Amino acid sequence: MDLVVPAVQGVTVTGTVPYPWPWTGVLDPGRTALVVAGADPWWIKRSQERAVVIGLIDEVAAGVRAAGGVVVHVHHGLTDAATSRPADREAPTIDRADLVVRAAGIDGFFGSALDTALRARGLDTLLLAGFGLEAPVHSTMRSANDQGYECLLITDACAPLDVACRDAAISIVTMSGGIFGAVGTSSALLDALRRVP
Amino acid sequence: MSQTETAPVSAGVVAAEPYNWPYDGTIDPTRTAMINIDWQTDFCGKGGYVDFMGYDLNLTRAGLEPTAAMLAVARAAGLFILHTREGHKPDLSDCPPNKLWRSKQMGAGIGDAGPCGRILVRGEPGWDIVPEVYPIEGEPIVDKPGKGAFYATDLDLLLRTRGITHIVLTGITTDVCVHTTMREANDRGYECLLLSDCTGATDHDNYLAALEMVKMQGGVFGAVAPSSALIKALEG
Repeated sequence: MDLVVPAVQGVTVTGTVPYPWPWTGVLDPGRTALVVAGADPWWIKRSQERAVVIGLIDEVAAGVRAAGGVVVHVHHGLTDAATSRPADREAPTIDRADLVVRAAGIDGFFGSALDTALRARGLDTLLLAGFGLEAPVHSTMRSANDQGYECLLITDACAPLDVACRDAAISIVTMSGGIFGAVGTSSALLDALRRVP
Repeated sequence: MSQTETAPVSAGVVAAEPYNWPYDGTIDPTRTAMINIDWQTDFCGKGGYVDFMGYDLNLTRAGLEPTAAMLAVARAAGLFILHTREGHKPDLSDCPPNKLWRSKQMGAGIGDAGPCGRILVRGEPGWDIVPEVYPIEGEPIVDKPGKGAFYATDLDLLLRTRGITHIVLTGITTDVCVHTTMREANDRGYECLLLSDCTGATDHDNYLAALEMVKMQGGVFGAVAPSSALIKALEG
């Protein structure tokens, strides 16, 4: 019997560079995780614009959860003693439904359960945000991309270590047709998540 | 931080930024590797992948001559020399679908026929290393499917088995494969030095920014120096 296959009517995020993201043309929140890299005091304190970015990450995280996606907070380093200090609680909100992983490296995948946690949940589409745009966020995005994850860097939800490096950190992602994925804004992503049927 | 370039250094120490390299004393050639990243026709040769995409080859070829000179000194000094190549199996079974799709959007699809054979496919002329810095007998070549030379390869095992703790990096492109590999090496505890004149990118501003990103926060991924500083440290 011949089946009539309907044309794919997928949602993509508006205005992403260098291509409408995700590459499949279909944003599926059930396969999507927001990965907040550098989400620990060491990186947050060294990042600029952190107050604004914490607010934006909270907004994006709420949108991702509401749409059925998963939020993962990545902490780096071997001890969490620092995070237990009350003065260090300047960080994005962690919801009960979220995952928290600790990575040995600046790359959130190195020495962590991140890849296992994502694969076990069928999450292959990643939204990258966090603190230390040039370091934890970039290293984690690079590693994710090599492993086949489809990545979007949420530019305004990333706090740079040095604002002078921000444009280059974003440009590098978009070279050669999107060498590490694509870049877009938090408002466009939230809009796309609301448009998914 | 430019005073570090002219600061007097002792024998075996490289005048580097943001700190004199290595952090733990002097260079021990028996524990130091020189990794030459992706000096392939596909990234710096006429008719290769980067040329096919329309980028200026002068930018990715800029570090070729200094790297050839550095290689000769490093070989004489007894460093462990390795080379990497990015490429995929002929059936592309190790190429993630989004990577393949993006390359096709650029009109230079991985696996498509180009002037130097099938683009980024192992065994094709464009995939091999250019003659200026071609490996000599005994120098391992690590074939990698991704940007990072540690991902899905035996690079870490080769380095550990040899007792390597320090890595000097050359190659292309600075902001993509070289940076990714340096980040991986740093996470794994290797003390890294990037040679600023032995690398290049498809965009000059991104090349400069990539060097800056290494030096942030006191050397978040290691240090940066011109090859002349390493040659001076090795030859005394």
